[in-house]
Amino acid sequence: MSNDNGKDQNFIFRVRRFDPEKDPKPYYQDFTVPCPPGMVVLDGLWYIKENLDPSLSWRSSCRMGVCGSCGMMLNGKPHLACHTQVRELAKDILLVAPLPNFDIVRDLVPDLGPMMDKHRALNTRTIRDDGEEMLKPTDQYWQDPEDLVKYLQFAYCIKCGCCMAACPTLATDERYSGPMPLAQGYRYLVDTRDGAFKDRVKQLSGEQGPWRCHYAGECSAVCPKGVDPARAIQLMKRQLVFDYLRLSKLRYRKPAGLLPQEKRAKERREGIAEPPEFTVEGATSLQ
Amino acid sequence: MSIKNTKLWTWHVLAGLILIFLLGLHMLGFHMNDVLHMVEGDPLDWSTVSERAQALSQAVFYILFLGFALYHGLYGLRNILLELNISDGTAGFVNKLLVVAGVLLFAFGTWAAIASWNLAKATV
Ligand code: SF4
Ligand code: SF4
Ligand code: FES
Repeated sequence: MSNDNGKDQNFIFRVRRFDPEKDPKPYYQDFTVPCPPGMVVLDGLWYIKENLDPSLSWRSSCRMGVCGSCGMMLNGKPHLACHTQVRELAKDILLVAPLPNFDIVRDLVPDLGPMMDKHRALNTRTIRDDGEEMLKPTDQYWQDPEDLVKYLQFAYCIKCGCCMAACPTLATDERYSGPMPLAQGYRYLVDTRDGAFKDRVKQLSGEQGPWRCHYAGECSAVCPKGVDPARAIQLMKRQLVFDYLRLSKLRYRKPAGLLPQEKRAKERREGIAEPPEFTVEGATSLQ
Repeated sequence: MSIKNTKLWTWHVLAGLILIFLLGLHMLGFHMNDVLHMVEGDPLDWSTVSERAQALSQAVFYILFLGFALYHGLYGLRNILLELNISDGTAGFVNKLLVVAGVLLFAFGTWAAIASWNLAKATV
């Protein structure tokens, strides 16, 4: 519940500190932060850095829940610091700690490298045979809106790592790919523009696949973007089982081609402005 | 790369469904007979039990039940053991151990089902 009386209220930010070059182990340090209504945790951290302790470290960039860099534990749960209001979460003390299930670089900065390695290892990009078209696109690939909807929710992921921090399986088994990479693996598995379905199925059947997931759903409960990775993982399992039983059509699908002539708008709709001329010499774009 | 885990998981799910079906038959026939009257007389009466034991279908039922239950249970146990964050070598050992245990238990159970079927026939 927000405690919104319109005035600043002092909160204790109890922040976990750790500098691997100096500290033998992590410790907590208290800072008093005056919080006006609507203040987000990230603003509180900036207040500390600017007024109380310039050495406090964390990672952030966009300040608007888009870049995925400010994931941290706030009162014991993973949140985006830029997207969480202090008064919504805390009465008087706010516990701030780095995301678990990651090594800590310093203070609130987790090492997201291993997560990104697992993400990359699942070939989370469109793979096709027409390499020339991929390198120098001449047009867009055609995709039905219904096919887009099949993965759109999972494409909202900003790679913040909150789901990885919440996953109990990942906490005990670091070989598990984890919710973010698997959700992205599913996103490409069902993308009609992709041409590597059979290879993906083979890879996901190995230890990198979804087999260790308990479907506890913690990952989905904490995701700040509503991605629901637990759902993606269950859909992935279903897809793999159906493919093993040869009941899935995806195995036989050809990757979507370029936008067909008949799908193109015959005439430009009224009221839509022409794009501006390029102002840089030699610049090009798709039509 | 293989399709190993997909195959193991698919059969785990199928075995679960088959177990529900077989267990359903068992429950309906033996424990809910008062309601459904699927078996003539009292299904737990000695004469009915001995008559049933002479039927080959009964032995086949138990062998199938045993096979699917063993597979389903041992696959679950494997998942629990692999979650103990053991090394790849130990995981390989666990896999082999569970296969050997499964085969031995299945062989023993099959032998017991056939032996009791033969015994029931011999005591007629
Ligand atoms: S699935 Fe959600 S919680 Fe996980 S990395 Fe993506 S946006 Fe963050
Ligand atoms: S649903 Fe699966 S991926 Fe998500 S937190 Fe649970 S075990 Fe981890
Ligand atoms: S700063 Fe970009 S998501 Fe929080």
